[in-house]
Amino acid sequence: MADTQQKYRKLPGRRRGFIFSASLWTGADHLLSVKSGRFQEQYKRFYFRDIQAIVVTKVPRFAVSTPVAAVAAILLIGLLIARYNLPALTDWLWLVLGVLAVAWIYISAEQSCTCRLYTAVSREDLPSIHRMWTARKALAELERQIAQVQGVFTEDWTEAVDVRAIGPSGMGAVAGVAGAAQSTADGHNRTWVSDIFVASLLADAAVTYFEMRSPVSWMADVSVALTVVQIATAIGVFVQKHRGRLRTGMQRLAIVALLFIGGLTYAQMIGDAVDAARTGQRGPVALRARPRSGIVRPIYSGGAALLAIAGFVLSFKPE
Amino acid sequence: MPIPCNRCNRPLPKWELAAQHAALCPECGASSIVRVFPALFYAAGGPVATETAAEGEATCFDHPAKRAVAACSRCGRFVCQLCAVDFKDAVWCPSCFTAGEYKARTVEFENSRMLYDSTALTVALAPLPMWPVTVISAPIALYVALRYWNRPLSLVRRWRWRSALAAVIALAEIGGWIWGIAYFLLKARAGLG
Repeated sequence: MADTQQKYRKLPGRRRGFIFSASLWTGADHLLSVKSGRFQEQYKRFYFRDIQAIVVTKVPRFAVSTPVAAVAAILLIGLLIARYNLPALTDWLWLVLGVLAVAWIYISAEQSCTCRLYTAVSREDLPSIHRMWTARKALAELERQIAQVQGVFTEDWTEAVDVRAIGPSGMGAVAGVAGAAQSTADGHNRTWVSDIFVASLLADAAVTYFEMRSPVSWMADVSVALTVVQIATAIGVFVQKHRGRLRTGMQRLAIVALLFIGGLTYAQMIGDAVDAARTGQRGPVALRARPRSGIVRPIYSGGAALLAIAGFVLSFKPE
Repeated sequence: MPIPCNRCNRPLPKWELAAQHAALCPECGASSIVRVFPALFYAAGGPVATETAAEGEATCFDHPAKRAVAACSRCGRFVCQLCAVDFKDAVWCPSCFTAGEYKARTVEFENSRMLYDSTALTVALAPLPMWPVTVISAPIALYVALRYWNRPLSLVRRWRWRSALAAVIALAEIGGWIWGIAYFLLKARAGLG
């Protein structure tokens, strides 16, 4: 495809979500904002000569990033193991978990920020800069590069700033027009794939509910089949969103549904392993894909019903 | 609106802007670091002026009444001041530019890329908790990893370890399935014998 590659240097700061991530890079003459959704990256370029202002505001941001979740998961698994094998270690692990939780709360409440960049025609939030210390480092680097292109103020600019409009002129009106155009480009609220997806969620919730009340083997088979339908149609929802036929809301619902199904499978596996350990069973724990345990089944039924209701709301929302 | 607070969108007063390291919003009390650059004070550009062509002068392909100022470096069409797209030390006409001819030469206008390496790795790893699905997902992951091996990666990433890891995991999964099927077949045959 392209035979010329720009050399980019990473700026401090990175936003790592479970699905989406963001980072900032500097090229020879521009700032590159990279937003990634695991399977696709989207790029925005802001040329140093066009940047009018950067504003970093201290605000609380309680975001759970993947590194934070990974540390929490490792500690919780460690606690689970220590509880049965090394009880003396349990208190220490709780202490570490507590200290880290307090540190996370302090950093999220007191050391977090939002960063916004203005050019004459755009106003862009930069999600990768969400901690004050990274904001200071990134700003210092950006200031240096912008000063090389634009120069520096030789006189007081604060007197003149009142009469200059920052960002796109008529920001509100432009946002309204852009929003209308976006809603058309985003596609529809529902398609036949999303209809099957939502219907399978509802049907699975109902089947699991009736299975709890009167366990019949064919109901478990139907529930498994419906779960497979949910996974397949969720993938179909991603494809249709990618092709612009579906809106973002349904894609998010599909992501939540997949995480929900996967999370419950993991929870059941861990629960089974703990049960086996407590009864002194040795050897690998059998995977139970079909009969969900007594605790997991009501959670699954209720969760699937809630997701189906959310799906109906999204489907029949006025376009 | 001069410069708004990120939190409440109310304009920050100029006496607060003077304190660049800690401008306090009078409305919400949020503290901001504000950096303003000279581009804010550049004169706003007006509409591009085009000149009417005089008798005998070359005219723009799309605007026959306007005087041509250059020829498209790609197709040779004459373009007026309004139509001339100055890009990469060459002048382009709007048709060639929008047709994407420039894409073959530069990455500077790419605004998205598919990450086939991440896709392959996710397809290889994500179904592991529901392992029976790997009978379908492993060949798909292997296909994606190998088929798109030479495709350009992310604009900012340089390593192909995701594709390599996806291929290794997919091969291990396929190997596991072959071994499992062979094991059960041999066991079934031994049982029959």
